[in-house]
Amino acid sequence: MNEESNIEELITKWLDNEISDQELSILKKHKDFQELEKIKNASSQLDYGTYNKEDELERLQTRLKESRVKKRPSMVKWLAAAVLVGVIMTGLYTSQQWSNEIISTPYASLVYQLPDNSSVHLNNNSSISFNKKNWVNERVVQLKGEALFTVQKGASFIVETSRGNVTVLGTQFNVMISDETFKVTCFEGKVSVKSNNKEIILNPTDEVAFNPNGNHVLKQNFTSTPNWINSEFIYDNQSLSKVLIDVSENFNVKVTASIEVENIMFTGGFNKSNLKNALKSIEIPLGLQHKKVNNEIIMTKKK
Amino acid sequence: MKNPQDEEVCNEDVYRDIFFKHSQELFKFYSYKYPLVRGMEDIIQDSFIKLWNNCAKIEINKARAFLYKVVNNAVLNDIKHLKVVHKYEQEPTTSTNNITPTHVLEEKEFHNRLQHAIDLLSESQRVAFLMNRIDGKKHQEIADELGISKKAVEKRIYSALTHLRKTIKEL
Repeated sequence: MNEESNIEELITKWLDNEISDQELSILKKHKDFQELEKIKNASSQLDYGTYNKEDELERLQTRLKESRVKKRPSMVKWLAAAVLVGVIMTGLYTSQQWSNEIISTPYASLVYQLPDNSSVHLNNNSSISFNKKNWVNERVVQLKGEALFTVQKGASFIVETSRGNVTVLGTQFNVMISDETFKVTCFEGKVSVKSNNKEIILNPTDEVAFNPNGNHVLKQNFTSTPNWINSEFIYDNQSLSKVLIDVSENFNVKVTASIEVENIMFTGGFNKSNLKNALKSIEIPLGLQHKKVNNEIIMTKKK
Repeated sequence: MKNPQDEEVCNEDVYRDIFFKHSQELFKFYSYKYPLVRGMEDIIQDSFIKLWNNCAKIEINKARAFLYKVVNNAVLNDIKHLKVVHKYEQEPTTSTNNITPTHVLEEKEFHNRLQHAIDLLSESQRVAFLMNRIDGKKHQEIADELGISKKAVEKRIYSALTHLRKTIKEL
């Protein structure tokens, strides 16, 4: 026991290069010494990688410089976005209290992220404005036109329109506001719609439409996503002249109905991608045809 | 908010000094501790980049601890993925030859066994042992660097050696 701890002490000194010659001669007589010495010598030649401080510092400094350079393009991008927003802003008339952030879509629909990652999918010819700075305290968006909202969980989320307000109690809903219609469709969660001192709670797949007199129609089990999102227009008993306005806007051509057919009601739809097919989708069920007059398409009764 | 001064990590000279003082030490410590982790140089680099990005928040005397912590986290993250690999690598490579204790092992065979036996040491034993063997550090220096007593270092190194002797025979 005593001898063993003595050996341990000698081995420790030997490993630390602190052993005297006399002690070493004692240790050499130990039965394991040859094996231990072999391990001691071999282990000091093991390869655990070499590290060159100068090379590594140079590499580090290059990486630090690169990361500084990389940040610049993102700044440029941010600036470009700011300029774009600025251009859009000048193209719009704005009410004073909403002067903060305005997004509009004169030509094509657009998905926009609000500061809390709620998203707004804006239809053509629509705009939203909101106060970016105060967004954390008050999630209020003013809407013109039509948009699909997907709202992150949090405090109340309000969409203000000229015809009434929509308060979100849930997650996804569509709002459409024009001179004739104020229509809200709920796709997920719950939505409260207030207009003309009336409050209507919408559950998923409910849709409420207000006519200009302020009366409303509630439809249930409507659809799971808005038609315009899927690049399709769908109508339920809509006047042809109204349908053709959508066609004109979507394809950027003038399409009108002759007087005799403009009040025909249309139930059906057309796809946004192809004008020829869109016209067929409307004409065939109604038994109509069209002619071209000075870059204008006029729909008439089939002869 | 502090302004970068002479004694601040944000000062480029101070930062460079810290790199020269600690990068190699970090590299060695973690290479010895976790020999299976690849790309240790890059992990060390990342930790210094993180130090630079946070230089205003870190006091100069806390920089070393910060670096150790960052490297440790990165390495442990890596090891999660390596666990399975490690398990298989620990399976002894059985040689079909009859090896008697008196058999003289060839140099290369011995080396393989030694390497394998070192992999099987505990992390703390391996670190102390290799710092002594490869870097030729005195026990006291190792104790200072690891922040433990000299006695503890001696215990780790001695038990590492005896473990190695035993394991090499058994393999």
